[in-house]
Amino acid sequence: MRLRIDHRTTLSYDQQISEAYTEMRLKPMDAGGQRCLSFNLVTEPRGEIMQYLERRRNDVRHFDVLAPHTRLMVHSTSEVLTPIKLIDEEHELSPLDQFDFLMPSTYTPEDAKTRRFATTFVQDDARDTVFALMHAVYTHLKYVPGATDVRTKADDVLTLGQGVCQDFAHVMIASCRCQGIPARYVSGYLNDPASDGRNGASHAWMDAFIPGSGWISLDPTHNCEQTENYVRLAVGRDYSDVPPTRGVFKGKAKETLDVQVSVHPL
Amino acid sequence: MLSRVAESLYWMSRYIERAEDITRILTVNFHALLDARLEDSQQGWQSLVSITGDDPLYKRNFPEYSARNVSEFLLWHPSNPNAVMACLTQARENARSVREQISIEMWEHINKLYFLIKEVNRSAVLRGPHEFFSQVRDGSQAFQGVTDATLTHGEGYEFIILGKHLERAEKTVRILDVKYATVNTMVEGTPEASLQLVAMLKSCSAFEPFRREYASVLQTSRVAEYMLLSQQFPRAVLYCLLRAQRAVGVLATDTSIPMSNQAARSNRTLGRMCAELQYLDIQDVLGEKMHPLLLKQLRLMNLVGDEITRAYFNTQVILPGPKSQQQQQQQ
Amino acid sequence: MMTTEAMNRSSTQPIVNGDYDIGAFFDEMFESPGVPRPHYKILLDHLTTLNAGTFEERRRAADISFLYQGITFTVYGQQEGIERIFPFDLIPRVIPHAEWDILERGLSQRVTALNHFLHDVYHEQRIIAEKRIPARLVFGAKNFRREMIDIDVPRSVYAHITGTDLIRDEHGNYLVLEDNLRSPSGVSYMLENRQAMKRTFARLFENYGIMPIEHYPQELLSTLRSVAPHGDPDATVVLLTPGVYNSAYFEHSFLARQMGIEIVEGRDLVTHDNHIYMRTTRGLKQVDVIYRRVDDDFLDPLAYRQDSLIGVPGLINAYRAGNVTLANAIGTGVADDKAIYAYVPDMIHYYLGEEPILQNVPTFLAENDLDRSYILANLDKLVVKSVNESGGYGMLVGPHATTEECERFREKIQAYPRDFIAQPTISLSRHPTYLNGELSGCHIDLRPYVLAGETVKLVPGGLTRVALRRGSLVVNSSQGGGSKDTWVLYD
Repeated sequence: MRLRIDHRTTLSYDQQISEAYTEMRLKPMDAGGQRCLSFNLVTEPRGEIMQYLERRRNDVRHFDVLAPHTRLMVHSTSEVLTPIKLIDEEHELSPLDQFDFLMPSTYTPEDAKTRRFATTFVQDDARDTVFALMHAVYTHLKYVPGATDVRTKADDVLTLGQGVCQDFAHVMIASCRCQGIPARYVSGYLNDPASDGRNGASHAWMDAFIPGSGWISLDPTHNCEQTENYVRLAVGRDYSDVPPTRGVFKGKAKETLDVQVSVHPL
Repeated sequence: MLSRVAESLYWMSRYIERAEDITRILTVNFHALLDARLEDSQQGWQSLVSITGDDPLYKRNFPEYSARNVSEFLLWHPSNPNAVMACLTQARENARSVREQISIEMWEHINKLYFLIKEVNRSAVLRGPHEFFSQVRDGSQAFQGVTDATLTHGEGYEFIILGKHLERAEKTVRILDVKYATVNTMVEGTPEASLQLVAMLKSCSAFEPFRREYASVLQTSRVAEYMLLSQQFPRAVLYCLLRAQRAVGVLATDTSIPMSNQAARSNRTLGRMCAELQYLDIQDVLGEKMHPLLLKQLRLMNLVGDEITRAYFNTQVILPGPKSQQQQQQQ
Repeated sequence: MMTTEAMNRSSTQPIVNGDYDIGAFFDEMFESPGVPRPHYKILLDHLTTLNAGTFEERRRAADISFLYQGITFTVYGQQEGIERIFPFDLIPRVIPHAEWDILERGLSQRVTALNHFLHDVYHEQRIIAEKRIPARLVFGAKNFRREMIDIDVPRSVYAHITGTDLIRDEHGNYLVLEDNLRSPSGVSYMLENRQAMKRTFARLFENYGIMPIEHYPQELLSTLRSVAPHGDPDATVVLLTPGVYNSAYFEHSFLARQMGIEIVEGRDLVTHDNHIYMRTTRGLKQVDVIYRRVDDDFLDPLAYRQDSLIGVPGLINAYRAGNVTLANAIGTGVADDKAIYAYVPDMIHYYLGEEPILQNVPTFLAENDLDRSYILANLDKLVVKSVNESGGYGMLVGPHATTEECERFREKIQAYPRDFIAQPTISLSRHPTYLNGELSGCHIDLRPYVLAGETVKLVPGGLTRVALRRGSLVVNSSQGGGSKDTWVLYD
């Protein structure tokens, strides 16, 4: 499917800040069968935008604003062609990926509770286990915006029983990993024509690695596989590897964040 | 030179000078006030605190003005950020943070001075401070001497000179302000008035130089003129300002980059102050007009301090190259 | 501290007397009781002429000079940091030329292999793919930095300055105890100790034939210049310090002064468009090489700890873009992890195809089941170390530990096997050292400093650390150790 994305992030400050450094992972990936047809990034105040590719082919853009300011805006527009499902290009994991996607990470620590939870759903076949886990996370967690924040970890989400897409993905990743199934976090967008009230456009889900057949991509928030409505921005061990924007600045100001995303089929 | 280093050198120098000035003021008045009557003495001690500008702080910590209380307050009371102890601690901390920019001799002297006051027997000092006071004074002057003799006379040196002279000028103005107000109420030529004039001169180590210049005539106007307008005496306000202006001039021109706005401003402000004093007739500002003049000087000195800070220490990031400057304008 | 009475009693006594006991150790000075090794003979003859009073006087003069010059380090752990001088022993350690020759070749070989290893783990990871070293050891190391992968650093050198700790066993064999590849400290003491010795024993220097070390700062500077971005020979080099409250601040400012470069704090630097500048009274000035004495975690709040106040936001991006060189590189800590240390001899075989010239201390990894059972069964005989700690912290010396301490380590080892290694207790060699009016045998080690840039080089010498507590094996400055001057002799 051909999709157009318009993503505007505005950071406002109650007093002047300076020397602001911002890093963004906002360009749709050219991987997994997905193609980024165009990408445009504008910032305000304007700065020279620099770019690099991470090892896992995530595109990172960054810029700095040294002069004092009270408002910083980042506006990205992109056109992307999505496949009907993730088309895996990888049949064997590198030793590092094997390690990274199996070991506990910042947001998906190893704990007894997650292990007990996951063990209940183990099937004979890894693929079946992953689907059973997705269903379990979907039914066990309630989608409640505001119940968690950007720092909540998988074990706390499980205890709490509620969260948003980021939390669903983290619980699912932690569950897969303690069953010996490599799993990674996906940050992206969702085109949701029949919006059921669950988070609009910015989205997070996960990939699981099935030995012999490769990566499959699942969305525990919606209990389904990735479809052509999903746009992938970046993959990592968990949220902390791939935040859409991240920054530091000099000053004692209080920051207010406003994000507006729209995804339209073309 | 790193902005932070320049700032540390400047403040190191100011704090050392401040410690010496406060000590000198205490030394001179300690003896003079022991001879005075009780109510005069109380007032005298209060005037010492006024010179440092820390009256409100003093009142919060001590019920009355006495030799012991004022000495304690000015020497090392923990509430007083301008106490000699606090000044020397600050001076040493600043020196320590730029240890590699100053000479070994400077660092050794500042360390000795710091340990001198840190480890001194405090009650013994309060009983008989003379020996201690001269040690601090000697230590500070020795530091300034080795600074002159062992540090390259480059940019860092000029910041040290600048800090020292701005601090000195400020202290001399404050001494003049407080003491002049007292003398002004007395009858010229009486022993009390003379005593005050001598104390005023000695507070700036100016007694003997003054006597050499003006022989035996101890007149209020002459004393005021000397402390304010002398271009030879190193603690006179005008002398200090001229020296500070020269330092700013060197700092601002010793570069291929055109002077920044802020640097130009501090140069201009100092120039204006010097010019005003150079063409001043002391007869025009005697009596009631003295205080407003001195207040104005203090205000301008603060302004110069701020302008120097903005020009050299807290520089707004000025980007090299035309492309970046364009970006600055857009914002 | 000695009482005045004790001083008086012994001040006329010679410091070299018949009471000196070699014990069951390798003694650096004495072959057998009363018989010095040839390279110590002149020194011993001179010491024999000194009595405790004279010696004490010289010692005090040296200490006071250290204090006035501010040659101090800060000890933490008590309520506030306390400035101390690093205790200095006036009896020098002497190394004959032939011995040094082996050390020099062995250390150069080792550092070369370590740099190959670092390049490999941050690029193709061949050594892991070929299963010569377990993947989980490398990737699970606390200081393995994923963001370094595929970043190319100038001349492929990661560890520009390495401080390798060497010890000698009871037979006098040199063994490598650990490599320090992050920001090894102590080199300023090496240089200052030499100055102090020259002031104190000027005459001895005249005819001993001691190789100079004073050129270390220039060698360091040329090493740093040789790894400048784009090979720029006029590169601006700065030293980045956490600040004046850091325990090694004296060393930072000393080295900067000796090299004639700026010492900067994080707040003095600013990143703009992937370049690093320092804030000066004349505006911004570009920086090319940063000799940093700040840990990886604190370097860049944008990339690592956002709470870091001593870092430079954007530094990692400028580094990745190749516009600034960091020395040492980010992520060198993976190679001085104490578990990975065990594989350094394998790295020498693998990358250089050579036999290691210097041997490791035998090491057991708690991570391996077999090793772990052995460690747990022999806790009272082994030295257990936490893989990520340095400076003598997080360590269990079995023979000297209480049962309680052993049990605490047993639990920790079982819970976090990856975090611990164990080594047999080595009887470190001893060196005559002045304690309370006479010479006593005290345990020592040696930390030479290896510089790697365009070439790999060492200055002849290093920091000899000495355990000043009787019987103690711990030589770290933070744990009651002191230091000696180290004399490498001409051929």
